[in-house]
Amino acid sequence: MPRRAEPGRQNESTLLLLIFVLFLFASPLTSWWSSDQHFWFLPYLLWLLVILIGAWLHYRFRRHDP
Amino acid sequence: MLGGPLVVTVSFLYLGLLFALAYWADRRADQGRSVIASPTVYALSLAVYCTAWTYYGSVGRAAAGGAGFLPIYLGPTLAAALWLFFLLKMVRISKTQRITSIADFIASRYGKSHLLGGLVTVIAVVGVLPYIALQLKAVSGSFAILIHYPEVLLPGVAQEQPVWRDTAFYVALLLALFTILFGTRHLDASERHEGLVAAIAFESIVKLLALTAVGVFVTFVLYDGLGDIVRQADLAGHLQPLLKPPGGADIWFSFSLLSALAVVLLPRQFQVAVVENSSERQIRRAVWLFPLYLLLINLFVLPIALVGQLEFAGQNVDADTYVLTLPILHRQEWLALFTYIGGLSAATGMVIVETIALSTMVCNDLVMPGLLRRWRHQPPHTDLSRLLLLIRRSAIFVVLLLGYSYYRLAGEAYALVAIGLISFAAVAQFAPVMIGGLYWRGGTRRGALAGLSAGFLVWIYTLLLPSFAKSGWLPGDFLEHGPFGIELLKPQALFGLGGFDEITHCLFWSLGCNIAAYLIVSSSRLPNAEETTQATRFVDALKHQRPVVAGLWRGSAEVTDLIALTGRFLGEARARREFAEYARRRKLKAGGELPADAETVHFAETLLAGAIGSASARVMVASVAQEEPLGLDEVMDILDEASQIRAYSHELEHKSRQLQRATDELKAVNAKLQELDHLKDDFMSSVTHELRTPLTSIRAFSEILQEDPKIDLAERKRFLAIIVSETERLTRLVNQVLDLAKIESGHADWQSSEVDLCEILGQSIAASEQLILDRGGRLSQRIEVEHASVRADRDRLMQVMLNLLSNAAKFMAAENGSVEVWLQQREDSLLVSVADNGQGIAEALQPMIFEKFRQTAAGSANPMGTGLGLPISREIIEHFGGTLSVKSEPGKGAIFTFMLPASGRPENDTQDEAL
Repeated sequence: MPRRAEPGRQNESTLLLLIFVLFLFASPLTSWWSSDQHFWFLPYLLWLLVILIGAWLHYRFRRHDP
Repeated sequence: MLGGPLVVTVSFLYLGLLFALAYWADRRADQGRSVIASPTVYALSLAVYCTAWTYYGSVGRAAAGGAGFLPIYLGPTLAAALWLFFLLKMVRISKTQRITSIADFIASRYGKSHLLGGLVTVIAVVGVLPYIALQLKAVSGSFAILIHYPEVLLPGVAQEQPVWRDTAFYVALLLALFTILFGTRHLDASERHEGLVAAIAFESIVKLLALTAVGVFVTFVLYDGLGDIVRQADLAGHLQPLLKPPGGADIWFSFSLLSALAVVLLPRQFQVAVVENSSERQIRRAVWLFPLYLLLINLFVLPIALVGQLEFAGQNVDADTYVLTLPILHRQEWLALFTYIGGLSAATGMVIVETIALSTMVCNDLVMPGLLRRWRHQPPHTDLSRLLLLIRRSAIFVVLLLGYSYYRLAGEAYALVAIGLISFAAVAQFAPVMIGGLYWRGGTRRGALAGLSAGFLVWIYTLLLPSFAKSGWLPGDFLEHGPFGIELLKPQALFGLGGFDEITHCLFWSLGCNIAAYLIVSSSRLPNAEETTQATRFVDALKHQRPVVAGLWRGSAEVTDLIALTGRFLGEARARREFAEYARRRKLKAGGELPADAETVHFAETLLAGAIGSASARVMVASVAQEEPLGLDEVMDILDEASQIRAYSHELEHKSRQLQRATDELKAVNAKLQELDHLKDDFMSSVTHELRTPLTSIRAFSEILQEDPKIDLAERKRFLAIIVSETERLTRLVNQVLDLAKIESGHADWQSSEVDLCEILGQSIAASEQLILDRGGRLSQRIEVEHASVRADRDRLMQVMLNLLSNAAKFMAAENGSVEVWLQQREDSLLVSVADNGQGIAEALQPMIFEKFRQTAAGSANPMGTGLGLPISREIIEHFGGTLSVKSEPGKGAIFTFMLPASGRPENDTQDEAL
């Protein structure tokens, strides 16, 4: 069930998502997933994962505009 | 059969459809039923980011470098995670300040500077021209390929044809016409272009479907799925590198950064993301929906690139055209036509929005300042709205023709993606002044001018000029050996920095110089009054709902002058309507009643800013209002006062919340007190009633004895026995009332010690047995434990047992009555049950028997006790951590059970403190 937004917690979650994205795409971890033999579709999967987390955060902190 | 006439007709029909859609959306908006208020439409309109570059160019880049095209789309995903901070703030500022473009935004932040707005406009126009050229190249190229269906023939080099035979020239003219129809029908640029945004969202769907259709055809019709394509590419040998990670973490990083910045800073992205935004809710959905769109549109890019390389191996087919040439090669004419429409959508969407945004900037930040100087800051007393429309329409033509010129000059030397990246690097120069302006109060107009100029010049030197040199328009010597043979100044290896690709190299030097100049020059001087005012409005935008307006303007003005001034730019009727609406918001009857105070002047200025930009609006308002300039100290005092008021306001809100909590608590306590008062009244009423019954009896028999001395001895003895019995009952009742009152008030003395329940049971049974036998009943007991030690008050437990046993004796069956007592252990507790075989208690009455003075229906008709025994027993048991309950069915007797926590062997007695 969607909860009313708490600005502080929403900001924290957004920052955590950003750190997660940086960790995936701009850290030494990049060389780990890019060295896999299935390299060409792994970025898409990771990308989808980030989008799903973003959507989950959106619904978790959804609030109604006046 | 596809051919020129059919393709042209379909193109016109498609553009006509877009126009009809835009018209319909505008009509709905006029009726108050906006279609673009939907967060999904907003996210789709943001997808104007995906242009012909994405549509055709990504495949071209993937064919050359595998997954190397991905950072262009991962960057926006990264940026989207930050939109709830960054974009939200920009939108809020733009709504309160009626910002109409990115140039207006930056100019407004740094003291509403004409010069800064002009510089941003120049950078945007020059920087975006290659990007517009890219769209023209893509549309004209795809048209030229499609009309040769079923042959796969690539278009010739544009420079070799005269202008009037060049398709791109006519495409540019046509797009200019459509852009004017779409975007310059209204004057107020701060109003949302509902129809335009609806059309852009529709185009986003079309281009996604078209590219997906090609992807599905290539992957599942030509080949047996993705696995098959990868296998074939692996077998081909020369395509294996495309399946491996692209080299260079620097490229990965710099392209991601570049696209993360461009997705908000490109003029068209600013237009759809900020100016066209209608609610903050839209941003929240776009944070995930826009990246999802990017993922979907890129899903088939690599398969199409691999298949293109396999199918056209050894042929001279440009990889940028694979999306179109693959369906043509396999004689799929309708798919080819749909693909062409998808590409047309991608290109027209970009060109229309980009040129509208640029024309607004050119009009407000380049032409208007010139006109103001010409008018000597006093506009002529005529309706200027037509003039403004003419300027914007002319700007659209000029921008598109300049884009076409770039395409003629340099377009053929680069692939689509490379052209786009040049534009990205140009608009990335806005990042330091934008981010600094939103979060740092110290940024000044001079700092912003220095930063932007430095970044722009380095961009021209390291990226734009080399693009001209590569197209042969400039001599290529300075690229290879540096100007005047100075190697250190080689444009693409500046100061010996080599080993990077040209974009990363340009980004490093241009952003580095930009940031350094911005910080150093800004720090060299304190911001002036105007800059401080605007810095506060921008940096604190999310802290308060109402902008700090009042007090930051001092002077005298006439409201009629302000209405007349805005009327000259917006039309008289519109201006009067806006002022009347504003007056209504301030609880006044008409616009003429408005006081000429700071808020009214600010309202007029923001209204005007929507039409001519914030810097020009400020100059215009100053022409009719006599402003007394405020010093920096005065501005700081006002802002301090404003921040103090905000702090007090926060404190008051905090106190208000505390007060509300205290009120709620008091209300709860009051409700509890009222309930207790009610219970007390009930209790008093019950006690007096219970006292009156025996007293009435005693008085009646005493009066008989007093009034009739002749009464015989036997009768006299019987009456006296009744009087004694009633007196005893009265005494018992008073004792129990006192006892219960002590327990409930917490003043009872509890002698707590280890007590053996077996012993208590034995004593109580011995004391009650005779009573039960006298009433014709029998008593049995079942003790199933050896040691039944509990921590409790021995006398009080005896009191409970005697009460339960006397109740059982009273209520057992009149004939063959029986009372059974048993003791058992259950886990860590000891259970004592007293059962009788009487009438039992109905389930509805069971909770009531533990209330004071409550007895069962039978009992109430002929009271056999005080009605306090069970409430007292329950209080005693609960005091020692146990429970007392009843189980009964009517006609089957009742079982009273109390449970106490078991403890160890009896120890020395202790005395509890009074509760």
